[in-house]
Amino acid sequence: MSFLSAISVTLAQQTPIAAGVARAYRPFIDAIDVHRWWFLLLIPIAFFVSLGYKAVRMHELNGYPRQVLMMTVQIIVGMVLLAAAFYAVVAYAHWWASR
Amino acid sequence: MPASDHEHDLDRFQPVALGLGFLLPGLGHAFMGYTARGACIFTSVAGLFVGGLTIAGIDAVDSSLAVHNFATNLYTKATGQQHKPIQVQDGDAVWFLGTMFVGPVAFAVDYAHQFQFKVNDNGVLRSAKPTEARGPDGKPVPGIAPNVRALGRSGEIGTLCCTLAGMINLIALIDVGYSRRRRVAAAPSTDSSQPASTNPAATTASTTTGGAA
Repeated sequence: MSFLSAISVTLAQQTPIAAGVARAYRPFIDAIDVHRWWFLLLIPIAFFVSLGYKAVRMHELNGYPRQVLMMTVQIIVGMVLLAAAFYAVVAYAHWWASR
Repeated sequence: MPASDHEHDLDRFQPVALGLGFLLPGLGHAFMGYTARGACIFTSVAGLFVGGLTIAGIDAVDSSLAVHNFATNLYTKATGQQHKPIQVQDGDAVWFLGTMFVGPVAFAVDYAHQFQFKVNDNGVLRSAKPTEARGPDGKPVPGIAPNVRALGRSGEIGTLCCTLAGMINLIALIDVGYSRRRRVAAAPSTDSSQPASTNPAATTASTTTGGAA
């Protein structure tokens, strides 16, 4: 506990807010805090990747929006299933180690 | 800009289109006559790159001066004049290998990051601490950091976005430079009396598979 407290205090002292020098967010220069909702960024990333990939891979652009949408959904569903699978593996390993 | 594909010899390597595609994502396709395709590629690459910069700030693009030091070494070998490479403390050189395919804008952002935001700490270039400002000569002085650093998830997702942008543009560059699509379309069809573009089988295949074949 004391070790974690020391880390927390150290990190807090490093922030500009703690030092009394808080500054407004500047786009493209400062990072934003995404630690609570980072997983939602999978949706735009999957969409933009699908947009570029399908633009290159399709011989004709007929039905392009539908193909992009399908690939976006496939990526998201695939990632969710992968996450569930890994969760199951970790949960099983944890149960197996602690029995 | 050509109005149709027939103005190019589409079976050959296309260095001009490749160069244009590197200068601005999608421009190579537009040059070859695939304007809509080029616009889609530009939207994709720009969306990912701008998204990465929005999430992680300028920290999303950081070559650790790999490009600068590589160029310095080449210059030294070519001219014989000694130029000591700048030492760096942090960065994501491996990720920049993917990001650099976004084009000149990636190199410009990286240059600005290295020489406008990092501090020169006794000959070693590093990111400024939150309570350090960048002095006139680049040395760290007490004050506010030039930028809020991307740590944890912000750094991961932002850097990933920028690298994905470069990878998507790399695929687009290969596509436009080697005209793969046109060669496939011009390949002999099962019905030799029918052009590939009007072959129902080929059309169906390209539609159902999204051209992935």
